[in-house]
Amino acid sequence: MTRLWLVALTLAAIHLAVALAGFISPYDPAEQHRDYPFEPPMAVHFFDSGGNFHLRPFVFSAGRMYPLQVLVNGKLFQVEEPGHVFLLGTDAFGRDQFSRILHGGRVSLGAGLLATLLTLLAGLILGSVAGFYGGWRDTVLMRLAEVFLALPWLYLLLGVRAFLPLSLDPVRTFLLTIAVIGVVGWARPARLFRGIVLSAKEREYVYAARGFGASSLHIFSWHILPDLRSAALTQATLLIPQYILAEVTLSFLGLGVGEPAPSWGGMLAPLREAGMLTSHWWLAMPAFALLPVVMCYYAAISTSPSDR
Amino acid sequence: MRAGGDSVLIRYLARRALHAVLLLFGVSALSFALVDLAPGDYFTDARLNPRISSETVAGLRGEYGLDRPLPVRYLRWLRSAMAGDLGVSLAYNLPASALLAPRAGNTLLLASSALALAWLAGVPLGWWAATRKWPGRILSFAASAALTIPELLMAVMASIVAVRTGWFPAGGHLALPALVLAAGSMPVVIRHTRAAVLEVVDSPFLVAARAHGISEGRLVFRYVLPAAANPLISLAGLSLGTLLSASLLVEVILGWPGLGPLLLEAVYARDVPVIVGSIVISAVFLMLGSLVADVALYACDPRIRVEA
Amino acid sequence: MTGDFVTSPEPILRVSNLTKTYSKRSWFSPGGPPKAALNGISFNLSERETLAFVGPSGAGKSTLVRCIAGRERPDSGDIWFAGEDRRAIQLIPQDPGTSLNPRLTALQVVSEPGAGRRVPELLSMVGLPVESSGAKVTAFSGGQRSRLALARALACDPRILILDESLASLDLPVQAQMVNLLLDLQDRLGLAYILIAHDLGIAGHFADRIAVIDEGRIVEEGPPVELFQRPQHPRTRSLIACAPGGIPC
Repeated sequence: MTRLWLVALTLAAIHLAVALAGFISPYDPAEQHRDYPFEPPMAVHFFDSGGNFHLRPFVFSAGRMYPLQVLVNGKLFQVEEPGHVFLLGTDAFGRDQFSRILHGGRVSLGAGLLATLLTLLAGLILGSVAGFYGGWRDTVLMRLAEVFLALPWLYLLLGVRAFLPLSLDPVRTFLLTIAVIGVVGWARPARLFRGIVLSAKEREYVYAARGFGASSLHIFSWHILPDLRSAALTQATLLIPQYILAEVTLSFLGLGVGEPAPSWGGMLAPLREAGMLTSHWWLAMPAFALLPVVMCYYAAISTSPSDR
Repeated sequence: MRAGGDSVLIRYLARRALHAVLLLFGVSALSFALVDLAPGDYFTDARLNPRISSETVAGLRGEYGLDRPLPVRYLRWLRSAMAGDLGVSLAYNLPASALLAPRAGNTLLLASSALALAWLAGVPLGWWAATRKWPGRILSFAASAALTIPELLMAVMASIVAVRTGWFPAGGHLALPALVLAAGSMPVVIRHTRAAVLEVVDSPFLVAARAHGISEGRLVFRYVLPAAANPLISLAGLSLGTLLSASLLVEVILGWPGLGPLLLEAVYARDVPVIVGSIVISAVFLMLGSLVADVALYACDPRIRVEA
Repeated sequence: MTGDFVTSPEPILRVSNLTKTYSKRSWFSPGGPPKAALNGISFNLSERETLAFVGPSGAGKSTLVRCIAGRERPDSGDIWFAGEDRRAIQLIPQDPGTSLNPRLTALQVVSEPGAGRRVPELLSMVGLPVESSGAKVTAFSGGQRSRLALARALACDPRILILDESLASLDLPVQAQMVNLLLDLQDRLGLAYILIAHDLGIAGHFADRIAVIDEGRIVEEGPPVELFQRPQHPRTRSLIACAPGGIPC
């Protein structure tokens, strides 16, 4: 149980940091500092070269000491001009990696969450219709699900993505990405939910409810929907990390939210050039944001009591 | 029952084959429907080009049959696909099947060598982990931790290690992508082998056999491994889709000339025949793989009666 | 003798020539020959009457009551019911506790058919404390759950209650209490009961009329005393031989 709390707390902290990206990050994610391409990460110091302790931490920018100014101009921290603070270094355009990771997290984590919501909603509706009404609806929906499941997932994802416009503004691409990821994954949860509905509607209390003429809506919401809740929750913990990775993959391949808007996959894309990472290791930083998120969700699955 | 068993198997295989063919119809029809939903086609950009007259574009579209209604195009495609002709690549102006065939072979080579590698290493490791208490737990934990590392990151890291150390032949060699892919699927094999062996080891029939003084080595090969093989083969069948998806990503990142890079290029270029072709081929791979797994399951465990 | 047994008052339920066949045939498996669950069943039921169907398992009793309760459609035959509303025929299943959603409270269960204000009255009618209405179903004992299921059935203003071996899962003293409660309700509300049992135990004490059912048809029918004294059919004889509590005369 303590492990579950730890996992939940870590996830909450990461999501909060990403949600407050505008406040925590010192720079605009698209702001280019042309004089500082590939600036390595800056250490935060408490002791100066003479060994004296400073209560206010400082960074070295262009060889000069700049104390961190906390809570000025609506930002968590900043340094005075002409100094710069690049906690996690900069990319080829001199953009602050720290700010970009936080803002990019909005895209990756947001897409993961929203696409999961979309998939669960679609799966819930289609699976319930198939299971509850049976007959031709069931046949059609489950055959369609089989077609979706007959394809390796990433091939399907790319296939669906292929037929949608490649370059759009970031907001529309973001929504498009969510729609593609969410729709592609409907079949598995729909099958699961259908099975649960099928067994739930054979319960004696459902027959009893039919016996006193309860409406389908009443039967569904009173006696069947509660059975789906825990399965939906388990599915969500399973799908969210998978969908975050899907977004990262799409933007890594240049099919997701594109420049100048930041996303974790897009930030990792330059690493495909050999040698980029060996000389500029900090460009891999988004991976270190991604890993704890994925690990926490997997840990949540393996600890959750409803896990089967 | 032996003679009857064979005819049951043949009936079952025939039914599976029929099912697979129907699914392939579904998959290809779905791809075509998606193409049709998409705004614009390969020649949309050409139409905006002032140096190409609109008559030329219309002529080109007619030449490739893009001006026909969807069902006509689908049926035409279907008829030629059955003869092994998947259309003409718009980007290369070459038969799509000529482009796809060597790539599909490469993907098959990569996926099967990775699978073999993962199993040859994973099964002994899992068995070893099941027979040792603490090393077993540690290995099992490490495997579940490794499970959370996305293939994308693994491939990127591998390419860096390869460049840094020079241990691996650069781009286009099988060794590195196969290793990465195998490393990605090995944790699951280790964990499942360990779980399966642990379950069998404690079963009453083995306790009894041990009490009768049958040697440990004989027990392992006669009883433990065959009994553990069953869940492992099911697992292999089920994880094939994941393997193919991971393979796509690994191929793209590590430059292995499989279906993955070709599909990605086709997606960028909207090269519809190639996209549809690679999606259909991936579906064929998945179906053949699960069919092989099912037959192996049947062969190794005669208790499994094929369900009607 | 499958003909109508004429009872004095006007019947409220008339079932004639009911048949139902199950076939397990599908596309790939030819399956066995179709199995007849009901093979021409006819009977009448009057107000305030208790009719018991007794027979071995697989005789078609459950299919019969499922058809009467409207859960299944017979292949042929006719079911005529004096009331218009099928809600007035209520079925209490084998293990009544399973017919209650464990997530709900007693209040929610009893008010589910739409009898919100009458819940206290209904609870006291079946001998449950009114204060218990806020408790979850899971907090009730087996016997109390049967009463709860009964209260919910009563909320539908039934004229016929079908008890499909509903008491079989209860301990004997609790069974006796339930039988007394049911007899009391019959007096007060004029209910008719259809009782299903696989042995003559309770049916012998409780029913006005017993129909022995075997292989989908009624093989013998009559008041308990008559049946016990002059059994005609071998099935009836074997049932009497197996009766656990001895015969009530």
